[in-house]
Amino acid sequence: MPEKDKIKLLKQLASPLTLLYVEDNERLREQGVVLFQKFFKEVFVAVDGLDGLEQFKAHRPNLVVSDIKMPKMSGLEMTRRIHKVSPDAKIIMTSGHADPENLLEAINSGVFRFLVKPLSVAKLSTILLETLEVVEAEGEERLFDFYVENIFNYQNSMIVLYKGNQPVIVNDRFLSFFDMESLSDYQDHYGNLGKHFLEHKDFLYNHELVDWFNEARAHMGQLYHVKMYDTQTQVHHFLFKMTAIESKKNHYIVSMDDITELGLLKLFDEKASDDDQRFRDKSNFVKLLEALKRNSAEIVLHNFYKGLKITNPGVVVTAEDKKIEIRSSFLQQKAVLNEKRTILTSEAFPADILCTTIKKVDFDTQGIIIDDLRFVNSSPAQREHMQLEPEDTHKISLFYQEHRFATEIRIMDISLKSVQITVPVLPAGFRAEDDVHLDMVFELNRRPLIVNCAANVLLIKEVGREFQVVLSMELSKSAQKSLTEYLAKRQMNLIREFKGL
Amino acid sequence: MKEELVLYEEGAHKCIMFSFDDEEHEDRFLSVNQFLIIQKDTAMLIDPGSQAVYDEMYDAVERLIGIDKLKFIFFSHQDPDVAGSIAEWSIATSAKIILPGIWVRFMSHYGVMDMNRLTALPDHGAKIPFGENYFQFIPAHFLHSPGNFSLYDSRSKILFSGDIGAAVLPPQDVYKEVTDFEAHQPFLEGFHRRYMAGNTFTRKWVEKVRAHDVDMIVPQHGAVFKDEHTDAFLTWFEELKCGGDLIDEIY
Repeated sequence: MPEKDKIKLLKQLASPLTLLYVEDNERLREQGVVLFQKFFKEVFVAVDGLDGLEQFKAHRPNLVVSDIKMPKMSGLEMTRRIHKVSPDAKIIMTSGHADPENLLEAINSGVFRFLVKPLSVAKLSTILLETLEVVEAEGEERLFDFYVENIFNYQNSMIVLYKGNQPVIVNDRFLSFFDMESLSDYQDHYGNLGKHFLEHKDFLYNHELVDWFNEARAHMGQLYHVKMYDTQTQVHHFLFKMTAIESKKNHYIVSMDDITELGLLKLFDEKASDDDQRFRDKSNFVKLLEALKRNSAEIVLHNFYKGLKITNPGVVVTAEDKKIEIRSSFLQQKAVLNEKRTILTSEAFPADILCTTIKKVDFDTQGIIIDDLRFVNSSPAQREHMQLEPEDTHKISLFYQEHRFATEIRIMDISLKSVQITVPVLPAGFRAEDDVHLDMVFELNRRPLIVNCAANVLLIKEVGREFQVVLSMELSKSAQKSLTEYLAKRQMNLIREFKGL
Repeated sequence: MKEELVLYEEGAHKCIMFSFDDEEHEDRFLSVNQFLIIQKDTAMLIDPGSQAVYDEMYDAVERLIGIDKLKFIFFSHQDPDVAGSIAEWSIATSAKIILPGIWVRFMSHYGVMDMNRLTALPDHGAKIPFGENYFQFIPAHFLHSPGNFSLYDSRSKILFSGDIGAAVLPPQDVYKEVTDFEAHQPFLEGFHRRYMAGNTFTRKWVEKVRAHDVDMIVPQHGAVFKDEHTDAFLTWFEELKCGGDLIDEIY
């Protein structure tokens, strides 16, 4: 590397770091300080080994440069003492002459590099660069270990530390999955991790519109699904997550949690039927929720009160065969308690999960203990439009083939798009796709609000002794405005009613 | 007063200011501005205002791009003149509703219980890229609301500053654009000294804003700052003593 580039790199690496310079010769000390200050954020000075040890304890510099022969305590003795309090400390020793005995003792004392005086910028920059590169790599390893131990403490996960878009450290599980000795072997052999991601509906993989790395980087913390072959060409299914490391700019941890054993892949392709026996098995849900908990991923709880949608994020706190507990906000707990069921959604689920048993809601711990889980193909959580139950005093008339249909009709719920009604009998010949006209009167702030519109029969269901009919409405602009106003006010009233429960 | 003003238009990018909710009093005039940014066939609505202006605002969006093209609705803070119509918007559109994180749980008081519709901005803000450009949500906490953001549009170089830069004008001389900063300053002073929390915050906000190339500052109330008046305002605001700095005047 040309000297100019070396200096530039050194400035870049050293600028956030501190250095302690220990030298008993005053003139040399002053010269050294001037030199080091060009590179390091802060330079501390000590006049002998004893002073050096104290300064080290007080400031914990990233690097130490010290003379060997000094009064009170030698540089080598200081090195031994510093390593007792900070075994990883990097200490560079300078000496007037390279006598072999000194060198040997220096090595035994744990000195990182040995430098013969006089110090020149060229000599210094080479040694400092070497040292700082090691410091940087060790920092990354420590970071990696920290994340592995504290966040992804799970043996099934493959973990990669990225610096920019380059992997710098991987764990053993990663290497053994690809049957590689080291990260550099892996890179020589395979190159980019994204090449392994196989195409699968709703999964993360490279295609025309998506580059896996940019996609994940734009959505830190989000769970994705990825699918890869192992060396035996067995397909594995992983929950993938990228996390930004807050303390270190441009560093990301990618974790891939192997959930192949849950057998979820099929659910992403063709929506399995609600009765699919494999997914009635509680232990599979437990494992899936456990994977979410492990990845500190949020879920979303959906409940309804007379059509009012109440959703809040939640977390899985326990996922065991005996007990599944999630935690969410007070209002959500209240909604769950009222509805005696809840719907869970997550980007990690192949479909929404309906829980039909609520064993306990504990307002002190914010806990909700759930049971009887199953995947559902369509769920009200997917509703695009607010669908509210109107007040009891509403009125509706239905005109079919230009005649008012004279029977008791009630609105079950209404949105800006459709209205669902119940009728005890149907007009003769009434069927799906027929056109009708609706006159509806709601109550808004004690005044009547009238909505008239043409509508089309979408669906007719016979439920018990009555019929439920879904009609899609064609609203004029003014009718749409009135209905929006009504729904907003009705929603507010329902919120008040719900909070008062 | 004209209720609709095009602030920027070039190619597929357009920024429009509306003044649907002006407060007129005998001795003062406070305009209440709403904004729409159109980018190709999508749009972001900024601080759409109270329930009283919902209908007009809805019609304007429908006329200018179509209500179904609205992708984002941004509420800079929680005040009723900003977010009072959040329930109506959540029903009438499928747009993503963006607001400061600390106000999310209060939105049930305005009629929204579906937290899934709301995107909470973290304290330090966020960036939404579009093509080569971006929208940057710049923290403006405690200026005046404790959870508050300004929005910078890198394409038009407009900073939508929310309450920062608001002016209470005399009713006989209402203008939409600042042409003389010194003459405008007295109309800024009263509002900022009382509504803003202190110089620590004004200084930090100016520092964050100066990191971007800003051609125009448009507040939610009052007149627009352009060109040299932008910088004059930033310099004034950076030095302003307000709120806690004048604690003995208000306690």
